[in-house]
Amino acid sequence: MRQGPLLSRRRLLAAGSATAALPLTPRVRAQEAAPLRIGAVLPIAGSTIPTSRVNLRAVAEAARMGLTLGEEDANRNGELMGATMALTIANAPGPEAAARAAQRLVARDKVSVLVGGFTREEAEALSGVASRTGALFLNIGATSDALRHACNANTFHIEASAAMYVDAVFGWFIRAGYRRWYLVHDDSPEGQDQHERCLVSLKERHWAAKVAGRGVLRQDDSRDFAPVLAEVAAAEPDVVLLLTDWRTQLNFLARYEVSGLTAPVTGFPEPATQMRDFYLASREMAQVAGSGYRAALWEATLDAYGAREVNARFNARWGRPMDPPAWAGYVAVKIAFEASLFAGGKDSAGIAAYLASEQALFDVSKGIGMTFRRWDHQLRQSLYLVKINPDATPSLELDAILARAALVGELPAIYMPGTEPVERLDQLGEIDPSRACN
Amino acid sequence: MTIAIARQLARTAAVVVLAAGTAQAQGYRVYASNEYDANVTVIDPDTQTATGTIKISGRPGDVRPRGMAVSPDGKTVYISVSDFLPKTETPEDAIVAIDVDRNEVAHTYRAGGNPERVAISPDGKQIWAALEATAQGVGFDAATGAELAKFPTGVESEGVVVSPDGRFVYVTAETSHTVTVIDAQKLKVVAHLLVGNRPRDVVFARDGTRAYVSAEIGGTISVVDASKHKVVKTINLGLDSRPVGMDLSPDGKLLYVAGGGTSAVYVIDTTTDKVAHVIKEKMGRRPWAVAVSPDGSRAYTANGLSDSVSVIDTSCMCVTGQIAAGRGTHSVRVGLVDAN
Repeated sequence: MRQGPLLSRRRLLAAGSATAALPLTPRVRAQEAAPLRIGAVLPIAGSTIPTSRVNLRAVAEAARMGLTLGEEDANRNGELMGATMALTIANAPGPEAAARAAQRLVARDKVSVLVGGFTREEAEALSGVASRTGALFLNIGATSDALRHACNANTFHIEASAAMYVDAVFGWFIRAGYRRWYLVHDDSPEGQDQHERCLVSLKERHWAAKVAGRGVLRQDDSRDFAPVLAEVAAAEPDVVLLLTDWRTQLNFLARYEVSGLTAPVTGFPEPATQMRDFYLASREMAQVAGSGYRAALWEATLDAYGAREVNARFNARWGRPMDPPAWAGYVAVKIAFEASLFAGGKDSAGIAAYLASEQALFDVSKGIGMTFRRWDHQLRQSLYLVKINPDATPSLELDAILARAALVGELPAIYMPGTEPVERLDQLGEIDPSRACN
Repeated sequence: MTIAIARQLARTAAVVVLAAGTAQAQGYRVYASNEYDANVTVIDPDTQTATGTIKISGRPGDVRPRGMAVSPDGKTVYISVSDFLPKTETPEDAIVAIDVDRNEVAHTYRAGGNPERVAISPDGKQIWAALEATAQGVGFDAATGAELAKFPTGVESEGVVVSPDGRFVYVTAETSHTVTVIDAQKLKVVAHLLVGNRPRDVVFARDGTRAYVSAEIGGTISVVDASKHKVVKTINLGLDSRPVGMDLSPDGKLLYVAGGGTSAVYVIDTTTDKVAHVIKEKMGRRPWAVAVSPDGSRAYTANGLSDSVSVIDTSCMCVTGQIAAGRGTHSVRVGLVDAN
């Protein structure tokens, strides 16, 4: 796979005079019959799985809606150029089931692109299938930095990395003056990794802040928070960061509120915590502590950069706001389809090579062209800060659901004339331009 | 529709008085659409002040005037009017025609589909609009308002222009990265071509041999051979430039491109396809549109984040003035008036 140098403003401006037509013109022949086949593996669990941290049905449903709208938009656009795509969705909760489903999608349904990954284990399984079969895997839900470190040639990440989210959360809060942090994480490998990344971020980027304390919870559904709550009380931090799953965050918030602790709380933004249903649940569990600020991959009330239009199309299609997992699913299809169009074919190797190339630039309605970092195949992008509405209601009217949160910030800022856009986007996450995924 | 011209005495504006001796071959006014004020600012180029506004709707924030075009004789300014609800059809979706001499709304053409930009055929008989919400290009008979035809484009259609010979209509679509080519006489789609990432505006060269398409996310200008409807060159302005609106000098030798991302205007020499000037100093914030005066001595930008129109003196390629407009200044056009 060809690996070019990083995009740079200098390189772009050096070519600022007339150039021969860049490979923007696709090599798609009109009336091309076979569609680009994309297979999505989603944990749309049945009712047999109890409500617990592993039940990601709501997230998967959101992703399904986004993927479907993506297919519809892609086919509408592709019709102009004689290109089509076909989406197949497999219901497979858990890594073993996800791997089996992915293998079937590749072998039987001839998909060249796999989409999914809502836990680290699922994403690792799907990435493994991609490596073995040659399919392309687009990760839309797993934040683990370990996945980025693995740097598989056929795996690309649309979901933001844990490092990006941690950097964004610290960036917003520390600039607002919150400098003493109490970090609560669970004892899972991912929880520990997130904690370690927090320490790195504070050490290397946010010197004005420090860790006031650390609490460790068992990764189970118990609610034994008393020891940690006592430590938080003693530490008197400015802010508490919960590096746990969505369900533990909700339960902790409830206990935190009744304990009388008042420092703001924010949580690691795994996909389930970015859903508007989670925002309502958070507020209902703890009206004050649960109505704080959260990081998000997308925001359903965005109205700039074409976001108004894509949010409106989603609202009209599904009667629901476009939650971030839905946006990630939509963008995965968009990216795969456009890459296929510009790469001139539907084979996964060609699409992967295109995604890793300098020409691969995508409009994801965030105001600036997005590219994949060559050292970890992470989509560069800005993240959003939202504030949960303390007066949010359980009404299922679209406007009421939208009103459960409001956009309050963007990081990095998009409109910054005079700054180099790629460098600006690389303010978040792990930066290692010396590496390249092979 | 009620018509009102309100005196903007309270508005402060940076005024640059025309230098003595500057001669205008023909009088003109500058019109700027204000997306969030539901009106159009009228600017006197001699005094470089806003002399009034033309109300498009009494519901600012709901009704949204955006792209504009001028009739061949310069006497009518057309404005595409929509709303902020992409998936809801409202009565406001229309093309509004303003009589430049009287500064009054002269006609309204019902459009539907959230028209974003509008174009007029060289003979003034056809009006074409890009319907953002329905992904279509639509043509109207300018005399009767009757719909001539509607054509599918890519999702989120935006830019529209008619070739100087009146034969072809180009419509851009933001999410498909395409230009749809419509034969305006036979009323059928001729081709779809891929251009840069997120195309916005499109203009034809004065001689009709080429067209230029701005790509906001790609930061590029696609140069199209209009005889073959094919991209033959791509001019890179940089990833951060976010080019949108364009206009040509009267002689066609310079292409002015409004770069919203860098708050700059890029001036491209069309004989070499190279960037000859980048005008940044004192530019308003996020210029999205640009219009050149009939004699080419000035260019005006519509600046959406500073609610203003910047005045560029093309002899120095520098900004010499700022004129306060309305909220979310979106587009700018020049309408001709009798010199006396």
